[in-house]
Amino acid sequence: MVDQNSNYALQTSEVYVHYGKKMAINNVALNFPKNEVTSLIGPSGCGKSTFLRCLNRMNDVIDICNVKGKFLLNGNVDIYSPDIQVETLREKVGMVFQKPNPFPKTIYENVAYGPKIHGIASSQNELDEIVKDSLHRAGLYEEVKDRMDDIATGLSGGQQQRLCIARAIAIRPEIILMDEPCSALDPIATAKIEDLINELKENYTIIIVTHSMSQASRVSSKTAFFHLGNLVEYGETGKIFTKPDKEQTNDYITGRFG
Amino acid sequence: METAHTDKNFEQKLNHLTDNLIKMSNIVEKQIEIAVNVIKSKDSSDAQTTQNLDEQVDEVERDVRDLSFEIMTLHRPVASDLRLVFTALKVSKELERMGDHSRNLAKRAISISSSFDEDLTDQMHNLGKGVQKMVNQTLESFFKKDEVQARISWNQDAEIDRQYKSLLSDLIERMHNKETSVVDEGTKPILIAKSLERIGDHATNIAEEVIFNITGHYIDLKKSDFE
Amino acid sequence: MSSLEKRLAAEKRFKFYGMFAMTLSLFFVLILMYKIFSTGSGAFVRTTINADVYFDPNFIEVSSNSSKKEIMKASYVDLADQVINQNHPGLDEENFIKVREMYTRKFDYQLRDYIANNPNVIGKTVNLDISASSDLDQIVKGNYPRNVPEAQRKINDYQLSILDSLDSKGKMSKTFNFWFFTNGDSRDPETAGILGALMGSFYALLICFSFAFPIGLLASVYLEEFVKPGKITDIIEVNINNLAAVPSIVYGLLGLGMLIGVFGMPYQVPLVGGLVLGFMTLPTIIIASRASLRGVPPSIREGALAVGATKMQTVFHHVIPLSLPGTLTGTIIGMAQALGETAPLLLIGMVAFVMEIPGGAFDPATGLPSQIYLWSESAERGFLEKTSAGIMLLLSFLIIMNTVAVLVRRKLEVKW
Repeated sequence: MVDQNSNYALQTSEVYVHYGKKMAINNVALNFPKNEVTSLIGPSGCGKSTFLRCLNRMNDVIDICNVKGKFLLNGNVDIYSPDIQVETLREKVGMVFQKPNPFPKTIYENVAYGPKIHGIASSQNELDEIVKDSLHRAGLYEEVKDRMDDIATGLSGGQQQRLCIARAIAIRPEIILMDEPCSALDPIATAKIEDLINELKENYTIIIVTHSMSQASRVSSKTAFFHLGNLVEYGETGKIFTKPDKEQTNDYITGRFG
Repeated sequence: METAHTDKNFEQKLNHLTDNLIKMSNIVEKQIEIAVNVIKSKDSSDAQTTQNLDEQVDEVERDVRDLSFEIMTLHRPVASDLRLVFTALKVSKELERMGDHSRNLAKRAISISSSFDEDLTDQMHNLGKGVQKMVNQTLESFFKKDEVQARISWNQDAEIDRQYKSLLSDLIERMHNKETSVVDEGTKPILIAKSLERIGDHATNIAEEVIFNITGHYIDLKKSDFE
Repeated sequence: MSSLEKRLAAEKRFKFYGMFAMTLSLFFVLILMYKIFSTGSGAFVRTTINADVYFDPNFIEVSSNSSKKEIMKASYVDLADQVINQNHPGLDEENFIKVREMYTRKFDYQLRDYIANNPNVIGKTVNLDISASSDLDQIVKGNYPRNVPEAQRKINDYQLSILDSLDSKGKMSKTFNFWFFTNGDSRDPETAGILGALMGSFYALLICFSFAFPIGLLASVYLEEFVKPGKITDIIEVNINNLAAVPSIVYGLLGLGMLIGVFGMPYQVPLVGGLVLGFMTLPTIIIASRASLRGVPPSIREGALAVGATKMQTVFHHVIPLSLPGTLTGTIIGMAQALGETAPLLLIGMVAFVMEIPGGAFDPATGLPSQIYLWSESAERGFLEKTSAGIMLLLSFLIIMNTVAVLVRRKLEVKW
């Protein structure tokens, strides 16, 4: 399943994840094509979030979580290799969380934090440009350009989430992971973010975990269905939502699931 | 076998939709049966029955249309449910047209005089019987979700066409020969034959929908390599 | 009564009990405040006797050209006697002593300080208000009864007559006793001030904060963020919690035995006092800080980590700033507690009579509560009001510190 083909931003295989003795992910292999949006769907507890968090090694902070498997970035870098600094990995693989979590700092500082600690900007001007550019790409610049020094937590939920996206983009990742990014948002804010995802895929590879089937069908070109830690089916989103191969998949997406 | 929907309301509506289609199929099959019999029996009360049944068909077709729309608006069906609703709409339309054809052919059949050529009447009757069987098999394949049977009944259309063409050429030849019993009836026999052939066509359309419902693809059954 | 009526009645009763308890406690607080205030307010006022002071150069050792140091070193006892002679002419020796006693014993110091600030006054006459002695002060304030037999009074009949005569001449007045705030302790109540104890407490608290806050903060950060939970951390946590409940005098013992005994630090100094208070406050700060760190939501940490921050960066750039309100509140409250502690200072010697105002953490000193205790033990009547005044001051500081803690929390609290 793993090949040197660099059309994939990320290739995973033989992935097993355990929490202590309990198995969370059972032998999953999944490849993520570049500049496409892949959605991970499945009922609660199916392991999709756990799997997502493996991709930027966020599971490292959980002691009892044990991750095994091959995770190749751009076909040649194993992200779990001991040579890899996890901080550098996270420069390449960014993450946006379910509940918007901007730092309780100013809007500017939120976006500038990442570039600062990675030393991406060589001058204050360059840093300003990065912040401005990231906010533009996140579709937030126009709304906040006059209040960059305001505290980020004063923004609305949708704006905060776009700020988090800007923050993730500021360190120039290749892949953006999104863990149910619209769960906490109202429909208009959700629509804005989905539209944003559509634009972002031109420049980034996006992997999104979602509870909403309709979101997956709107936003992604590939869909992976997880159940009880197994990857049940993976394919073109259109196909999954018209005629999935597995009956289990059909039962889940039509709402027949037990 | 199939797990139930979590949303009972949705489940109910889908079942209701299928029930309507079953109802409609039964009525239309009855219509065709009666119409075909009228070719020979010339029973005008039977012809009237096809007329009455047609009104029922129209009513059920409207129900199917409205229910499908409601399901799409309120429940946003996907995958198997979506395919069901999609094909239900189209199948109901085909059935409704079949019903129309049956009614028309019955009306024409009773207006043909008893002096009409018996052999030709038999041919028409046989064509009708063939069409009736084909429709029955196709509708069965729909409700049983039987892809193989759908293909088989689709293929019967070739035979129907052949019978139709043969009947047609006979009719035309006899008109040419100025046989009074044929000429006096004018276009009526031709139109009856045509109606039957059209019913067969609608059945093949339904067969294509059956395959879409099962596989999610529309395939060109002509090109498919099934014997 | 129906069930609903019973429940509503129970609620009404409960509310009444609560209101009653609040009112009662408020009542007691008001009584306490009133008692302290009425006794202590007297300490802020000082009786003075107006007199013409001729700075007779014959009785002054220095001249107007002398340096301040020389002026401060010279004796002015003779000058003081001379002034009294001039203002109460024609007294025999016995009466002279009685009149002299009516003026503060520190009269000569008062003269000295005046000359030091105005060297050119030598040879001139100035009209000054001179402090009365404590006993006189107390009589004038009405704390000593006048109409008891002479033997039961501190002021004898002769002195009373002088007092009345001075009063009728309008020479008796009261002035604001700023000496309370500028002087150190003294044997004479009228000149005793709180500054020495205040500075002692200040230096001690400064040392306490400088020691306990950084160590407490970093220790809690380490325990909370960097160490894997396990047997060892459990033991440490239990120990810290227990330490917070250890009687404060034990810390005094620790100071005595370890700091003074083993490390040879000086006795009676705010340095040692501060360290001892620091030991005592450390568990409080650690516990408050850990609770505050735990209160920082994991989402903030995740946000920082996801952007590629190291553990250290996450903790120091994000977690600690957000936990600071809680930590500071705990620290300030801990410091307020330390301010009011006497027992630990007892064993290391900071509960003793110290006259000089400490210039730094290495000078002998006493603390604010200790000073109050010392005054309360004194026989002299004049110290009674000083004790209450000291308590007022101590309470004010505690209220201020707790208010600051509340304000700090409110100001720094950020909504996440």
